[in-house]
Order: sequence, then C-alpha cells, then structure tokens
Amino acid sequence: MIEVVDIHKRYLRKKVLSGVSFTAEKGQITCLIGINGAGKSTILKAIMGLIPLNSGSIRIDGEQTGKAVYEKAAFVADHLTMPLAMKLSEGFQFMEEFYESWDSERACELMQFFKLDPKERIGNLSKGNAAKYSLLLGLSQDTEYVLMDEPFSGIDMFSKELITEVFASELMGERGVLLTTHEIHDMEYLIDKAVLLQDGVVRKSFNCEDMRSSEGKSVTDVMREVYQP
Amino acid sequence: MKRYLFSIVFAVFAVGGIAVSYIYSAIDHLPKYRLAAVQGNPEEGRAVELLGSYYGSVYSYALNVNEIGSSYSQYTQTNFRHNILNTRPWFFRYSDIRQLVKEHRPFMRNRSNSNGFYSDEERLIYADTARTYNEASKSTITILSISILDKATKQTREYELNIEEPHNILLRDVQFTDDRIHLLMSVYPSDRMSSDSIYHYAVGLSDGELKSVEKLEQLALNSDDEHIYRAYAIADSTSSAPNDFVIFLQYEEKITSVNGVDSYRSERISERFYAYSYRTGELSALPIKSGDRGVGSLDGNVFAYAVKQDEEIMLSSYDLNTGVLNEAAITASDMGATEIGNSMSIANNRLYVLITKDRVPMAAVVDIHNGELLYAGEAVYVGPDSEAEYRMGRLHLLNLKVKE
Amino acid sequence: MNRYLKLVHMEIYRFRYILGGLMALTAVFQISALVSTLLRELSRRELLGENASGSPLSFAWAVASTNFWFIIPMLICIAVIAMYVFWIWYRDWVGRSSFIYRLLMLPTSRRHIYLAKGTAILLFILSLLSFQMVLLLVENMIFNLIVPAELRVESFFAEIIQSNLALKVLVPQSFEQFFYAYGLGMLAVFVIFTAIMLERCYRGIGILYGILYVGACVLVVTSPVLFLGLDESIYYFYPGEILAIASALCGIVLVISLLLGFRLLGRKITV
Repeated sequence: MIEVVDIHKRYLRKKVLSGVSFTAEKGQITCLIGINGAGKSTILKAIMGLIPLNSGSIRIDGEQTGKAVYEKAAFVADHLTMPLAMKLSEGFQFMEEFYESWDSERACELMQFFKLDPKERIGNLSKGNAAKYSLLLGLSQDTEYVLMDEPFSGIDMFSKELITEVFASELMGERGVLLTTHEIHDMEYLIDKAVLLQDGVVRKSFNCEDMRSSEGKSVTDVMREVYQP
Repeated sequence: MKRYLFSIVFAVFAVGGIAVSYIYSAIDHLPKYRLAAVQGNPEEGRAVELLGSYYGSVYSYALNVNEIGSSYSQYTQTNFRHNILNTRPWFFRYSDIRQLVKEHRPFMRNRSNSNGFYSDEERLIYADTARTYNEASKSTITILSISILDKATKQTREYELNIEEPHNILLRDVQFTDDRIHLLMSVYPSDRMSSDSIYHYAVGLSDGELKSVEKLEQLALNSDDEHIYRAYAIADSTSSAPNDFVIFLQYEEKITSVNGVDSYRSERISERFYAYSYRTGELSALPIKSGDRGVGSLDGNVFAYAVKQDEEIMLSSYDLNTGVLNEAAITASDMGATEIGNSMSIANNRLYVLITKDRVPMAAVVDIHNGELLYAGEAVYVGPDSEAEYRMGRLHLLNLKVKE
Repeated sequence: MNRYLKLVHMEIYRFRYILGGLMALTAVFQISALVSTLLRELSRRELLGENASGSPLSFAWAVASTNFWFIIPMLICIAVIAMYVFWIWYRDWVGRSSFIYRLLMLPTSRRHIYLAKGTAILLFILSLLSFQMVLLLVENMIFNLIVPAELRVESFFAEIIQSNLALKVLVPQSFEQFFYAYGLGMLAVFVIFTAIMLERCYRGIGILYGILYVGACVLVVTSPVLFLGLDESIYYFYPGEILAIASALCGIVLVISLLLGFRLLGRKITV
C-alpha cells in the first residue's frame, strides 16, 4: 500500500499541497482527480522522490521512500524520459542494465502489441507512440506499483483503445496502480478508487463500486457535487 | 560485456595515451650532462654548479650542470609544490638562516631582512627598519626594531627606536660586541651620482638605548662631473655569524658618456678596500691590490679577494687580526685550462672559477690562501660517445654558482 | 560500483560523435597546416638554392611555425568541453524529453550520477590529450615523409612540446605538475557541478546561490596567494606551512563540493 500522510509542498509563493493524505492499495486502480494545476503531478513526483516535500511523509509497504522504491514502483510520466537520440531497442538495453525488475520478454510482447519499431529513434515517435513507449517501459518493469501521470492526455482514439486494453488485461493483475487525470470519462469504468483534489487538499476519497451500489452515484456525479456545490 | 567494449577501450586510450607520453618523454629527454672531476679532490667539486643553456633546434633551454647531473630548471622543477616551497628565495637560500629557522622556529617567524641577524652561543638578535608616516611631525620616520632571543631561557626582549633623520635609512648588518648591538645602516643618495651614506649605530643590549651614531665620512666622497665614487659594505659571508669587522669596497668610476639628464655610461677605474672595526670604530685601508670587477668575501677574520687580470687571477687574503697578507697568482694553465671565464665566486675559503679548455666548460676550485688547485672538473655529455661532440657543441655554460 | 560504471559508459557513449568530431577537426586543421607549411618551406628553399647550405629542418621547427593553426582546434576543443561541463547536466532537463526523471529514478545512489558525469568529463579531457599525442606522432611521421633525410634533424619530445604555446601549458614537463594542474581542473569541475546542483534545487534564487558558491570556493582556494603571502608580501608562515595550508584548503573545497553536491542531488533536487 502506498500511504501519503499530510504532505505539504510550496513552490515559491504558491502553496500547491496543503496537507494531502490518501492511500492506494495493491490490486486496485486508484485515480487522483482534479483540475489542471491541482497538484496531481506533484503528488506522483513526490512519491517517486523526484521533488522534495516541505513536510509530511510517504510510505510504500510501510517503508520510507529511498532508492529501493525504484525497484518497487514504476513511474510513467506525461512526457518522454529517455534520450531522444536512443533507439527504442537501446532504451530497453538501458532499462535492462539498471533494473533487476526488468522483464524483457514482456517488453517485446508489448512492443509487438503496440506495433512499435525497435529500430526507430525515440525522438521520431508520434505523440501517441511516445505515450505507448513510455507505458511500455513502465509496465515491463515487474514492479508492485505503477504510477501514471495523465496517461491519456492528448492521445488519439485508437491509441487510447490499445492502452485501455492493456489496463484491463491481466498485465495489471495484482499491481497497485495510481494514476492522475483531469478527464474522467475515459477511465471511469476502469478505476476502483477515486481521490478528489481541490485547493491542495483531498475533498473526498471513495471506492467507486461502493459509491455506485450504495448511493447510486457515478464518479462524475460525485465530482459535480464536490466541485460545484 | 561486449556492449561496454567501446567505453573500456576509450578509457584505456585516454589514460594510457597520456601515461605512455610521459614515459616516452622521460626516455626521450633533453641531453644530460655532468661535471666530471679531472684533477684533485672530487669532494671539492660538490659545491659547484655551472649555469647556461642547451641550444636546441628551435629554442634554447636553460640548465644547471653539477657533479650529480644536469637539470633543465625551467621545466622539470616547475610545479606548484616546488614553487610554493621555494618562495622567498632571497631569504631562505642562506644555509645559516635555514638552520636558525630549524632551531628557533617561533622567533624566526615573520622575519624578512636576511641581513638583520646575529647569532652566537648565547643569543640570537634580529633587527629591521620600517617606515611610517608620523601625523604629528608630518614626516616619515624610520622605526628600528630589535628583537633579542636568549637561547638558554628562550625569552625574547624587544626594543624600538625612532630615527627621524636621515630618512630612508636601511639596515645592512647586525653585530654584537661588549654589550653593544652594532647596526650598520645606509642611506641611498639623493642623486644617483653620489655614494651611499653609511652609519654605525650602537644600541645597548641591556637597556635598548641608543649609545652612539657615527657617520663613516671617509667613505662618502663626493662625486663630480667626471668621476663617481661609491661605497658598499661586504659583510661576513655567513651573515648571522659574529664578526668584529665589516669590509667596505669603495670604487671609482669614470663617466664615459652622458645620455640626457639621468643616464650615463661609466667605467670602473679602481677599487679600494677598507676594514671597519665595530669594536674600536676604526676605519683602515687594506693593503690589497685590487683591479676592477673582482670578487671579495669576508669569512671570519679573513678577507679574501680575487680579480682577473689578463689571463691570470690575482688572489689576496688578508687576516684582519694579525695583519698578515697572502698573495698568489694563478694562471689558466695552472688550472688545466686555456681560458679563464667571467664568473668567479669566493666561499668556504676557496675560490671557485669558471674556466674553459678548448671550448669545453670547466670549473676549478682554488685555495684562497696559497693559490693551490684543489679541484678541476669538466662538463661531459652523459650518453653515447658518437653524439658527444655534437652535444657538447650545443652546450653553452657561462656562469658558475656555489651551492649554499 | 557497477551501476556507476554503467553510467560512465552511458555518458561516454552519448558524447561519442561530438568527441569524434573534435578529434577529426583537430586532425584536419593540424595535418593540413603542417603539410602546407612544409611544402611552402621546401619550395622556398629550392627557389633560393638554400637546400645545400641552410640549417636543417626539425619537427620542432614545424610545430613552432604552425602554432596558429594547431592551436585553433585545441581552443575549440577546450571551449566545447567547458560548455559541456554545464551541458552534461542541463541537457537532461531541457527539451522534449527529461532524461533526468529516468536518472533520478534509477535504483542506485544518486551520487553515482554525479561522479559518473565527473568521470566522463575527466576521460574526455584525457582522451583529447592522448589523441593530440598520437596525432603528434602521426604528424612527425608525415614530416619525415615529406622532408628528405638530408634536410632534417631529430627533435626531442620536450622540444616538440615546448614549441607550441598551448601544449607547453597543457602537457607540463613535470608529471607531478600534470597531477596538480589537472587535479585543480577537476576540482573546478566539481565546484561547478555543485553550483549547478544549487541552481537546479532552488531554481530562481538558485543561480545566485550557485554564483556565490563558485565565488566562495575561488576565494578559499586562492587565499594562500591573497592572504598568506604566497606572492611574497607577508612573511608570517613558512613555505612548508603555506604548502600544507594550500593543500588542506583544496582538499576541503573538494570534500565540501562533493558532499554538498551529493546531498543536493539526493534530497533537494527537483525536476
């Protein structure tokens, strides 16, 4: 379980996170929802140790985050994180060199599934293909958790379908998934838990299935309630 | 591993290339030479160093040659560590000062005037002058400060004296006799044509009070339009050693041409030596036949003087206490050479002189009292005989130095 | 250790084309300058009938006569490496792809990233020097091919180096000095790296921190000259003591730069 406890983050004058707390379980897909600039990306980056926090703590499976977290959790950013001059296959080589949790078989499978050419240079990929490649790199790491920042933003419809297929497949299986989005429509039926952010705090966090059966509300309904009272 | 081959080869190339270059440069070094003994006792040759340059194909390279070998000072010794350790060479080059630093490290700190030391068994004295601007009298005054270290008790005493007149007075030598600290001071002349004014200040050891000031008038002859007289002090070669005497050299120059107001050319006509006794205050002329451009050195009570005249060196040594004068003459062939060079030095009661034999640079060491040749050595090329002639031809050694 | 080496390999590999380009540029400049100078001199001698009487040519002379054209590519190499000391970091932040994310998420101590970049810079510098040495060897052979044996004379290695104004400085005669000079150079690289860390951690005001940090380090390292009288105006310390102080100060600046850099990269860095 990823536990985020009372984290605060300020960028110069602006306070982005003012005490955010939530959890993301293994085997579930948790979604951070909020408008642009609500701090969703910030939270993910903080969990991955990419930005320092002013206060608060983050624990993964009970342990404070350190360099071991990188074999436990994979991060798929909203942009490319590999050198543009590298070929796709060289990117694999790099990941294999450094990560023990790298599964090259799965990487090749996903490569074929996404119909990407290993000899292509990363810099020449279209936006859709770049997103697929980033996702591929994240999922081919055999980690317990996968964090994704805006996986569907700016992607064409067909690519979205492919990606959604992967989500629904057993590739996700027992992993804990934490993702962010500001557009819930594509994802609504996939996610298990929703965390609604506004003004740097968590407004509401709930299990989608329970919300549907007990109160008959969809995630969009709850969102309307919380954001436009 | 194959993947990393590129980087491994690259790293090996990067480090290895430079390493091989330095190994190669050690092998392919500039020519080496050595001072080899030809006659006499090789021990005497230890102190000699010949300086000059090797003429390469494009540039010339400065080098020293001594009995151990040669070193191209410009390059092999220039590194940061060496530069830092050899800072203030004008102070630390003297072996007696280095010894004093070893024995009395705290006292010797922050001393800059190598002339200002006196050391005997009981005490170590240091004196120096500093100029400050006095607000009250609106003039620069000189502060003479004296520090005395009692070697037995390790206690120091400090005295300070203000000297109003004359201005710009400098310290040249420090001596001690009969409870008096003797300070030899000189003042630069107001115009270039005149000679330094030389003063003897005596300060009491126990009370730090100025006991007497004497100006050595006999040395301050006035120059005129055609002749210039100058005098300067030759103190004991080991500047901190006790000595009752100081020698003065007074020389006369004739002006040969004048270019403008302040610049002129002159020729030295004659030199004369005087001995001054700190104890008695007596200035007496020495019976030494001098030429022009000789070298003189005071070592204890003996003043030694050597001057090159034609193809001969005239040696004189005079005992200041007994008044005994020894004279000797030595020719180039006496030393096993064909020519006498223009570089001589007197130290350790010996005369060290640069000589050449058929264009091969040599050095000779001669006893200052009787002119006996103690050592003669020549520069030889260290390397294959086939190259020797060529390499020697490109070697030009023009100066001699005595190692301290 | 393993990961550190892999990172070094990565850094070398991604710079290989620029390095190759610099080496090729140097070779082209130097060899063409050498050949044209030699041919010009030989034909001049031929014309004036000096071949029998003139002084022999040496490779050291050839190097001395082509100083300008030899040095231009060297200056370019130095400039490129100097800029890469900064760019080796900033390239991972700037552009469409942020490789810094990937680097910071590697399951390795972050100081390995810092050290790998430093090691890479050092290797680049040494490789260019080594290449220049090999090039001199090749140029000497070309010289021997062009100039007939009767007209030439051998040069010592030291003569060749001394004949070029830049090589004199870049390849000091004393190996001890090589260590000191390039050691100081690497110290400067690490100081700059840590200044870059300061800038990347504190963004806006970080530039000021970085500049102040570099200024402070320069002050500390040059203080023996400024304050301890290495320039021979203050006499309190003995030379041995000044050496010890200067060495200690350099050591302190090195250790602080490394530790501060590690700490900033490890905990305070922000993408």
